[in-house]
Amino acid sequence: MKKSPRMIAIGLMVALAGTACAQQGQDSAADADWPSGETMKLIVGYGAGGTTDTMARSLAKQLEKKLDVQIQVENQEGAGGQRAYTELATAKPDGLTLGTLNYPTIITTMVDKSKGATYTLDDFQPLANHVNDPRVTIVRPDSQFKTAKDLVSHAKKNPLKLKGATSGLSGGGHFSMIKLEQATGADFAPVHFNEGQADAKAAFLGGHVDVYFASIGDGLEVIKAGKGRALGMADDERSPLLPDAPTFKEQGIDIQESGMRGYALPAGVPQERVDKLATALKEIIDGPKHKEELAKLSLQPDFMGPKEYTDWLKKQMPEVKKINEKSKNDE
Amino acid sequence: MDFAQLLGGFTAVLTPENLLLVLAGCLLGTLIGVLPGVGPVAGTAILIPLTMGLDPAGAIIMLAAIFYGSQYGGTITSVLINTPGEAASAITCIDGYQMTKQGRSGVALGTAAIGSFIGGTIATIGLALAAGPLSSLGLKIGPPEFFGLMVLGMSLLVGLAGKSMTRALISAGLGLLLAMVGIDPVEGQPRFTFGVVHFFDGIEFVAVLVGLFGLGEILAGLLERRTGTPTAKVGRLLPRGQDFRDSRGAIGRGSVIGFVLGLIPGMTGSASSLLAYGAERKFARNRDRLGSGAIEGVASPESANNAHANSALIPLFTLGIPGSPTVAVLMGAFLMNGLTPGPTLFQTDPHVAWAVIASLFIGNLVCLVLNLPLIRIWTMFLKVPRPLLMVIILVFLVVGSYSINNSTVDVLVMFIFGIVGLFFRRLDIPLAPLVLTLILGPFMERSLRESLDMSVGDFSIFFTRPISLALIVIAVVILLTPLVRFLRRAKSKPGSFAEQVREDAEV
Repeated sequence: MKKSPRMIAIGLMVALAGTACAQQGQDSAADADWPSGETMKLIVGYGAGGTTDTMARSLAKQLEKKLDVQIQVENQEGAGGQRAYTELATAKPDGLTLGTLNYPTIITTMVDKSKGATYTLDDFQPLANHVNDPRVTIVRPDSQFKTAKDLVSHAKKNPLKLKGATSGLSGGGHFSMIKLEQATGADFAPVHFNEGQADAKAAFLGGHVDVYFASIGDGLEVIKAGKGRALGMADDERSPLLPDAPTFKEQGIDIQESGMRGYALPAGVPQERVDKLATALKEIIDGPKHKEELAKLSLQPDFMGPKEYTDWLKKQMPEVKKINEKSKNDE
Repeated sequence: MDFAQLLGGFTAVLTPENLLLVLAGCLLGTLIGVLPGVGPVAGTAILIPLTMGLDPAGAIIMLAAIFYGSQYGGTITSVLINTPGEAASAITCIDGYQMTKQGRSGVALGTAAIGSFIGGTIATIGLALAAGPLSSLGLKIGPPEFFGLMVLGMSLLVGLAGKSMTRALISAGLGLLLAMVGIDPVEGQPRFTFGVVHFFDGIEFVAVLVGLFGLGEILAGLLERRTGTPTAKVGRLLPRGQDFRDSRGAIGRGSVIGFVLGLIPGMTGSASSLLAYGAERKFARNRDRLGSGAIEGVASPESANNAHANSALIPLFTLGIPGSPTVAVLMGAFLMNGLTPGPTLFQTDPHVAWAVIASLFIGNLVCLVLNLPLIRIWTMFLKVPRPLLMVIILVFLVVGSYSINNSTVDVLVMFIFGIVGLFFRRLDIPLAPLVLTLILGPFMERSLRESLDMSVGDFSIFFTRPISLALIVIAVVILLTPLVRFLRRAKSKPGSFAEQVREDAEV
């Protein structure tokens, strides 16, 4: 099956050779040192300077060295990453365009028909997961709430009185809020900052909201500077980045919600290229030097390869669909 | 704050290498600003790799220089060829280009350079002296206050209207409509995109502005069969006499507006320069001449966007919050160099922090010293014979609009809005209201939705918070003043509306 387009490609190459218009072909000779010398594009679904952006840029820097390529980072923020996913899904599947995949938004935009997404998971070739960024619930240091239980029981007795900042409707912060509500019966008033974390953080620090449903990547600096208190981490274990912050689980509230951030190619990229990129990514992400670098960005690495990552994303779909339905009726 | 540390910063910056970096950064930034389409955000991001080999302080110093160099560079094309190099300088086209037509391009650019220097320096003093308290001031502006500010901004429309309110509203309405195109920022639903994926990102407003101003002007000149090089006269560079007296107030007002707005997370330089321009309508000596080549129309927005650029660093340094998209890119550069901007920066890397602050002072000065003599060189552009000049500008416009997103759709948008711009000129519809609504519209929508989230749908949130209430009241007063004046006169001296208007014109 794969032979015939390749033959056509080689035929075209021969035809083009005379014009000195040396487009990169698909023949294996040229593929041997692919992508060396190429210019790649990395589409980031969130604004410059945000967690996803700095994560992607730190990786891009190393990938450039490793593969001898130029990487242009392109920020396509807005609509919870959907703009970027749309662009990625329709990009040329030559392996030179990759984009960030952020769980849960990549799934929510697919399972929620009203978003009018023009892509499904089949339009992507998931490449590698990069970091696991658990959600953390933060209140101000002078807050009356000392534990997750305090917060929850107040929010239960006073529905819609506590304002909770999220980084966007049906985003990870919002999901952690809903999971907390479902597990405990609490009821928060969500305030969605769809332009990303910087606005949510500013609103929290300015006292315009009561609770900040952040990720560690965004909340760590706030907590370390003494401007916020972590009440609960939505993960099974405490984070090595924030060992003093208790999990929800150890306080008897069994919820998990992590921002999983990785990369995908558009579907249809030749398998050799997928493997080549995935191997390079694995070497970088699993390297000790990168772990240190990520820690500076308040992130923890968690590599998954193409197969494992695809399966993991598929597995999340049913639950995300359920939570998402809930999130849309959440006022 | 700590003067010893600031002095330490100066000592660190005043090495030959660092000065060279500042110089190179300012020059590169100016070039980026000159290219229409490539604004400070894209420009700074593109040039990040250039700084990779440098030590952290050097890298940040150079990027910061690129950053405010580009703020200044955008002015040059606005003034000389009516084409905004970047969004924050769009409003400068209106009076800046009129000044060029009057043979006063030199003083327009000179005043812009001086205003930029003063605005930038005032903001940097604020950063050095009182970054902490100032940033907590900025945080007081939550979504409802932001919305109030945007209502106030929109009310300045009345001032920008010029002769006919109807025409101004046509222009403003079109701007708002354009601002609505794209994926809805709250629910993620595509609006008015006609299924064109490119418009999911919204219509690229820089392409719109470049078309309306730049191409519109060329087409109008073509139709009017303008010949010769009427704009070759440059005039003197430094504002003297009347110009000096007129511009110093405007520079002061612009600097203050830009400085204050820069403290607010989420505000952009283009919003600052627009609001500064709008304020001139109320406060400038020559407010009646605004729009036809008043120096205040250049001085104020240019001071504002540079003050904004520098004061937007305050929330970054003290809170780790990037105040505007360009600062976000700069923040990325900090992180890539292993520095975490935020409250801990002054503890973990104080010498880098203070070196950067010191470099801002020096960078602003270098930009001024560099740009004043360069004005003569830039303005030589105008000596090119008209037919050739127009072709060169056209090339600039096409390349510039293409390079925003590397997309031909943006080139098409630029051409379409060039034709729209021509119609605007023929029908005497002002461009300023469109710029205002196109840029402020999305901010207004976003802050409205966020505020209503906060209040669970209750509109009273805008009237129960003192800052937002005050802003809205000021906006209402601005909107109603002309009406009240009109009604009072109508009562005392009955007459037709046309007579009233004629009287107004005489007064």
